[in-house]
Amino acid sequence: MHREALAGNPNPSRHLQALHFLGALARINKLRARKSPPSRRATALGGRRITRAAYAAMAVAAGPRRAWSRAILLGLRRNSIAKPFLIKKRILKPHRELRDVGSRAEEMEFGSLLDETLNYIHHLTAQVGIMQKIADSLCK
Amino acid sequence: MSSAWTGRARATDDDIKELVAKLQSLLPEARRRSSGRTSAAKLLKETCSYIKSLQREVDDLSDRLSDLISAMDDNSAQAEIIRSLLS
Repeated sequence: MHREALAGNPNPSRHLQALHFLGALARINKLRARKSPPSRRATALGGRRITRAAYAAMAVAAGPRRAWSRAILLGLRRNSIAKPFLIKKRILKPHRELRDVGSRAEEMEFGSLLDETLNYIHHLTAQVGIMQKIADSLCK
Repeated sequence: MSSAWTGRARATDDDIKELVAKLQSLLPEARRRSSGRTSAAKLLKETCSYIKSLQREVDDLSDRLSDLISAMDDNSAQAEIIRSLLS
């Protein structure tokens, strides 16, 4: 068991995540400009497109080695917003829920499950930070 | 952590302790039990709640960004995005 493998992987790919997301945002903005004037429905859809871009950026930054990022990348191909963790509202058995949803059909050993969870949280918080900064700079 | 993990031997108890400690340190202050012992089930439940709240934040920020971008004209939105890239 490598010690460094337990680091929980403090997101060195944050730049990639930010770049990917900004690129997607620019593309979404271009699409929106073509369809002016924007309807209310268009704005709601825009929010969902941005959400998809957010999860795509996270998954790209994490790479295909993570079960959760693979789940997102496959889910995006099927054109749905994939939230690999916590799709069920009721937590009857938190362990099973995390395991089932996070690892799909794969058997996941508890240590791997914890590590995947840590990594997912790291990327999620990074994404929140990225989006917050962009929102702040767009407000100026 | 690389995917090589899943191919290796099971995590030892120490490994699991370390991961659990890391997870606990990530959870927001209000959710941490000051009285020390947290059952695995509680920790996982709180982790689920935390992840859910983060996902909600992403949704909310997405809506906010959508509004902000559509409120700007095309050129300045692109400019702002590029500016974010450079800063």
